[in-house]
Amino acid sequence: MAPSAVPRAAANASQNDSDAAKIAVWKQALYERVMESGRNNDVFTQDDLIDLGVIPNGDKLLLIRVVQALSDDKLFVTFRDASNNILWKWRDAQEAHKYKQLDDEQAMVYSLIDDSGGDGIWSQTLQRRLNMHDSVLKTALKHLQTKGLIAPFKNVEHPNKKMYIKASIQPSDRATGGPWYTDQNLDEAFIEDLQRVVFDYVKNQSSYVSKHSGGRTQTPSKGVVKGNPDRGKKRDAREMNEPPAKAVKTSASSTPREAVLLPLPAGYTGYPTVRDIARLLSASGITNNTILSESDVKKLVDVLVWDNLLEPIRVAGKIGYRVARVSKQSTDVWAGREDPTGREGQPESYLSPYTEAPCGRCPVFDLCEEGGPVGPSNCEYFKKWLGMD
Amino acid sequence: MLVTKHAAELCALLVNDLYGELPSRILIALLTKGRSTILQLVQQTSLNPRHLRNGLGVLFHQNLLYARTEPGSKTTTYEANPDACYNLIRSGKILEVLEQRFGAAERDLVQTLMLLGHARIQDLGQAFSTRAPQANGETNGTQSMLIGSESRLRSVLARLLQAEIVEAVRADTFRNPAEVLDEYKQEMAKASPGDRISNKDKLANDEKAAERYIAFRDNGKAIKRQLDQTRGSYAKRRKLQNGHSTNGDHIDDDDAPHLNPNIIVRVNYEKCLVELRNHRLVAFASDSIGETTASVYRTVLDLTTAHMSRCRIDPLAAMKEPEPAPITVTTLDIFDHLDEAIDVSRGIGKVSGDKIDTFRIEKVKMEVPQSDDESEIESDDDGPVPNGRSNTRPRGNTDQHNDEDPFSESDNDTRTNGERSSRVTFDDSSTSRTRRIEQMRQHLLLLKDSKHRFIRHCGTQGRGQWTVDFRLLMARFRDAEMDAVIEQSFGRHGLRLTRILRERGKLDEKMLYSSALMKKGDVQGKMLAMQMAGLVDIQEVPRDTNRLANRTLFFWHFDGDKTQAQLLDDVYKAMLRCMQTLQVERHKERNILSFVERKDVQGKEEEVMTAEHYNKYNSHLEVQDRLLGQVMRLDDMVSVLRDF
Ligand code: SF4
Repeated sequence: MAPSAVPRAAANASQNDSDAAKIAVWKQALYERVMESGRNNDVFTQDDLIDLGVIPNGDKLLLIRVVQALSDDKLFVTFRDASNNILWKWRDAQEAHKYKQLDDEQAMVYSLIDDSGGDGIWSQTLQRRLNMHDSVLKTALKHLQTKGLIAPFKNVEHPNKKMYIKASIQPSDRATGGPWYTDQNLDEAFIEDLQRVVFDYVKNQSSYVSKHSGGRTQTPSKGVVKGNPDRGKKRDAREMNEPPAKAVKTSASSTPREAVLLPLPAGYTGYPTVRDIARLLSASGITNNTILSESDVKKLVDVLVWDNLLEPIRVAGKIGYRVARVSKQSTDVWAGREDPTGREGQPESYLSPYTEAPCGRCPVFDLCEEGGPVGPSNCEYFKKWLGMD
Repeated sequence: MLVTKHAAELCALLVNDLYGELPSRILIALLTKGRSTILQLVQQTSLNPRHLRNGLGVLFHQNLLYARTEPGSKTTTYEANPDACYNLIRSGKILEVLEQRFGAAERDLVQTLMLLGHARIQDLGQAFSTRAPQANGETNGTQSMLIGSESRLRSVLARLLQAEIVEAVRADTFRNPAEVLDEYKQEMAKASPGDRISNKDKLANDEKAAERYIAFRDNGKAIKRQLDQTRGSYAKRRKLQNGHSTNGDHIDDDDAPHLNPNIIVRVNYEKCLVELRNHRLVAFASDSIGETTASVYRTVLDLTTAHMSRCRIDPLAAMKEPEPAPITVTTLDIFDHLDEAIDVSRGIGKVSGDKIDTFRIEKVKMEVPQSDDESEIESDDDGPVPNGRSNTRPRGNTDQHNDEDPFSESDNDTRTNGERSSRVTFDDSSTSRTRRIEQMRQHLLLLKDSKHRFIRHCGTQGRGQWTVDFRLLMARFRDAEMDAVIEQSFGRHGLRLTRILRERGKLDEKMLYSSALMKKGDVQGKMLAMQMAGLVDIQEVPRDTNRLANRTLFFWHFDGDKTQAQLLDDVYKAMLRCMQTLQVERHKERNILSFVERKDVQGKEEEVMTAEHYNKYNSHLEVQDRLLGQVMRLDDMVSVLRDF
């Protein structure tokens, strides 16, 4: 706070000294009371200010003079609401000080940038709102920038627009893209890593590892089903970071039967929810210092659902997630695999016969005609596919 | 069937492959020019009338034509039946499925009928009696023995007639059904004279016409109805024979019905498609859940479709024959028909009983869902489920055998199965039945709970009633096929973007990339590639009348129907190319192929041929298998996209 700045401003008023001194006292009293009474963005009507009881006898004329003086000092901001009532907001003295260094144009520009907060504002919007000459705006911006009051920045929602933000504040999540962005760039590697971890976790939690081949018929005697040959071990969630693949693999290679995944019974209530997944991610430490909210995790999970890798299922009044095509998925983990060609652990998706055949993947499909320049009688792709090259 | 250029070429190629060039040429003419008389065909094909009649005869005999003789004039017009032509490709598949469902004898009979096109029952008897004693050393010989007697033939045929796999043929069977309906409509219009027909009258007329059309269509099933009356319906008979039903080897010649030897019969492909669809759905369930569950599904499908004549509602009869009420089956019914060899205790993981929410899984949905909104999970109306009910449920296979907590099971992992099973063999049969029913129910619940919703739990009688909402299920199946193509053509990201558009409708680019967690540039690239391929399109919405680019919003959208139609035609083309490649290969190896066709070479190829030729021959066979296999799998897609 710099109350010493106040009386100087009051002195400019062409009143007699004692009057000015009184005003200065009330000014400071009102400013302090306003700050005490409300948080940052509280607005005050004239009546509110009177009600604060600083101005003696509810003297409106006096109030107006005091408020005017505060506005001159940039400590009060005046504006009107929708029904054209005049309202005031207080401004931090440090901020006010900044305003006082500026000329009118600069102050107007600065105030718009100030209002835009963490989202920042586009230079064209400034121009449109202020209706300033281009060069005037440019100088104002330049001036503000050299003073260190504003900074140009990139908003991920409008990557090609020249945006400005107040130098003293952090860009909002919306402007930076939240946890998915690193230096205004979508961090795809990070997202992909997280997706794999989430996929592995949900797969693990929504399936049952059976060491026996999944369910071809045995010949029972007289139709009496004997015993339950299915046995396996439900893996614990804690294991998810130490790859369980090892254990599974060695045991699988020692017997000819591969471990397979089985679906869990209908009505299972333990399918992980977004909250469970969020908890797992924060516990795992993989998000290295980025804090993921539940809605961030939901975005991640949504994407996996759109990719047909996970599917939502209602469990006990909540939405849980389970892996798609469970019995076709491998028991290996997907996360942390470097080799992109080694398909192990990757999600298995339904293969279409169309894209399996050469024509479904053919770059010249549209041109291909019997008797044309490319056609079945001289097709290289088919030759390769049939192993005849 | 909408005949595109590729579909037409494919049909012609199939006919060429099976019946030679002459019928194929005529077929092309008919497909391109539409309905024609012999005279017109002579002009178009420049064949001489005698050849032309021969070719038409072949086509006619194989049911590949619609024919019609105007009552007044004596001329007959011909029209191609592209559906029938296309179905030629499915013969092998149909035979396989029929063998599984009915047995080898039924397969044999249908195969013979496929070769003949259509035949009088008497001639059919002769075909078998001349074949039986021949026993010419090939598999053919043993197969004919399956139908060794006249009465055996009749009983097999009766079974197929009752199952609607085979239908009777009359003269008017060869007419185009759409045309028949039109004619009825015209007649109705004539019958109610007057200049102005009110809308109500017109509707009534159309309804009457549709009624007549249904009578016309179902005429071929008169025999079936007769047989149903005298022998009991097919489903009932199967139930009596339960246990052996899947083998079909039982001899029930004793009750071979009398069948009029002059009746002409042929294969009813519409019903065969119902069987093929069941087969595909079982494979689909196996892919998305697991094999054991799929084999339970097989029984559900067999029961629910026993009286279903066609996959989709007949559009021509839609007026009088709206979507039929869903057929329901009870748990007990399913259990009675379930193959005993299926071990229903398998295929589902074990969890402890208190992790199961019984209340929700037993929820019954009586109504046919109207649409297939994906939001169903969200809008589930039951809200939070009351706690503490989970333990009331009889414990199923999830933990019936071992009451110990499955999570602690790992410590006795070393025990062998033998020991475990010996523990339970002493169960008396009634509890083992109860347990087996409960285990089977678990699979039913799993089918219901799948995201594809293979079945719907629609009632509580007989330990639960179930039904299949085919129309919605097939729509989901089609989406799954389309998703697979999109994913493999445009990657996971392409799939993601189209799925977002499908779920949310039209979106601008910003929404798209922020939802998809993708870079703007990547989204633009993908969308552009998919736009070129016709999957997605962009719509411009100007914000004001100036239509300036920077005052315009651009929305992406995904047109599922268009994409499916396009995909279908692309699949036709891919099939066509496979077949053409096969032809090219055959032409290359024509010398060897004509050599192995010689009577004195057949059966002892290895001895007579040089090693080099023999190897070449073998690799040609491999190529052929590969190509035909691919065509079959492509046909699976056509079925799902177009027919089922
Ligand atoms: S035949 Fe060959 S060139 Fe033609 S579409 Fe198929 S793969 Fe492409």
